[in-house]
Amino acid sequence: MPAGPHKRGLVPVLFLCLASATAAEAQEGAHPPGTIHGKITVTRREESRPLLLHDDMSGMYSLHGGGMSHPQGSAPAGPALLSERAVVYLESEELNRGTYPLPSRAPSLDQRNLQFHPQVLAVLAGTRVEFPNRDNLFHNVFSYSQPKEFDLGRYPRDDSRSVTFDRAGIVRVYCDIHSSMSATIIVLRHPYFASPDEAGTYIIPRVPPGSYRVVLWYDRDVLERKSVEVHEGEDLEMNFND
Amino acid sequence: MTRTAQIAACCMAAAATAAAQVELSGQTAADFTKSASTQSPRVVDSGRPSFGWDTRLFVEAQPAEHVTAMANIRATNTDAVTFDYVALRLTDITPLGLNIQAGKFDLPFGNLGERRFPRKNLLFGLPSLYEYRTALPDHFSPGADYRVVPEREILANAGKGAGMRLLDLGMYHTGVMVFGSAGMVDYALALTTGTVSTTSYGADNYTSDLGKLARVTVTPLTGLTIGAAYDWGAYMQSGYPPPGNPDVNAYHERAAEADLEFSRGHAVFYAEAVTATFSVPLTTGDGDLQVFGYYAEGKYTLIPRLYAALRVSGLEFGNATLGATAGPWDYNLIEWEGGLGYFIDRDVLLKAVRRETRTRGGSNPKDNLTALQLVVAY
Repeated sequence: MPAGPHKRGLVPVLFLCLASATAAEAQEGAHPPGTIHGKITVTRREESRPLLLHDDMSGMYSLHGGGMSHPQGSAPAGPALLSERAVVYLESEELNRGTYPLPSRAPSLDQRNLQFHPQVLAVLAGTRVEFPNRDNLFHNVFSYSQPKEFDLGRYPRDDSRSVTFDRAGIVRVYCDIHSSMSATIIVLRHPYFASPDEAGTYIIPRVPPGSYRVVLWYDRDVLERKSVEVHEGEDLEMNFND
Repeated sequence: MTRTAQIAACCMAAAATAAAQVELSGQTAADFTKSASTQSPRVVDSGRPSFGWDTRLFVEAQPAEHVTAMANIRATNTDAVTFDYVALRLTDITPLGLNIQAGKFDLPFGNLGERRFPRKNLLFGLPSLYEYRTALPDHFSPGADYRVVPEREILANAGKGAGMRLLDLGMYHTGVMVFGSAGMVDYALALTTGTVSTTSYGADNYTSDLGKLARVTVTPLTGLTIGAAYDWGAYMQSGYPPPGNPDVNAYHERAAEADLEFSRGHAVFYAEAVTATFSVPLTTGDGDLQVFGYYAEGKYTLIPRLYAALRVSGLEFGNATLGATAGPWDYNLIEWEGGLGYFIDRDVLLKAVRRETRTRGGSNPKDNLTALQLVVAY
């Protein structure tokens, strides 16, 4: 049974509540904020993780290191959940001009079962993101994207490195050892974004009245953009069907 | 089209037709090289400035849950299209979790792995023990003087790079392999048409004996893997038996190796040592030719996109009495190789490499090679 609207996207909701509290509270008295919520339905064929990968030939083609068998707890997983592959965020120059407090707790991009979790992560510019390794083997997380180039090197299970993303933009994240692993970090100048839950429902609370484009990012790219007008105190429903 | 290529094409076509999932990927490298113009076999294109290219295609299909078909196709500016790797793999087919692979594949010997391909190769070529041709041939030329071979031929080949490599490039042979793992241990047993030194580059191997290989690796902690392997079998091609002793199965190779891989942070280190003994039934009495090969290489990522790599490799030849001559049966050599790699993009790598080779024997040539290589993976 799908969760109720007030249970949807609990983590992003809490984050938003904390992050936007100061800025929003100042405006709420004069202009009560609205809410954008809805359901994401992606009917396109789910891309499963390729089982056969030339980059894994050190394991597939040759007997060294891990060999054919992956270490316990590190077997490749199936396709990621919608909640880990999609993010909804607002586009607005007005929102970009605001100042917002950073989250008190660093979001995390896990390396687990030879995948990144989540595969799409939205953060506010200036946020520090943790990259914990949950596998029994090395990963080497890196990005050559313009907003943030980094190379974290190799570190063992349950160890972590962190990166602060200061500039807004799209950051493509990979593993140098397992090239099937990829993730996208969307660095935004405002905190008005949310990840859906497993049922595909999302909620972006405390949205200041105004005109926006609501963007659905799915996997590697923008899947859909919709224009909306949010009025004072309005609870706006916006569904995405693809 | 060779028989191997025909079989490969049929297998892959069948697999692709039936496959629920087919992956096609590859990498292409273009390079500029300039080497010294000595008489060393390490000289490239007689020392002239040269351009070259190398492309690999990887086809992988999974027609059923536990069945995988794989092919690796290679073409370069100097070699026609070659199927290096065409194999069917059955995985997890018994309660023991064993895997079986049949076809043409890289031998379970050493830890070269994916570094045989330009995208993961830290530098330009392979370590000398994989590339340098020794003086010992795996067949005899019809024009040779059969009364005194192989002594004369071996001696005449010293320093010329006309014989077998210690480890033949990627070491691909046709055969069957059983492999699996237990905890931190991986193991493999294989029967193949050749040994680690005999070539199957662009052709089938015609030794009448089977190569036998065993390999085990241990990964005691994340980032550290220690491996060892043993290989034995006949190395002489049955199609060209030396008349002095036409029993090609009397020409045996035994090779043992140990290897290590260690990585931590921004550093990666690989090393391998191989010792091989070739039985040579000389016309003046049986003899063994021994060779020891090694390499160690490492990479350090200086900043995102940019890494520096170093490699040292060499071959040390044992003493032998060949006719009236006693001493190393080929010229010892040592190589240093250093370079920088820069990732223009995630799958676009530019490498600049310098290699220095020192040979002890003959005219003691000092060779060098400067290479620029651009690699694109797709």
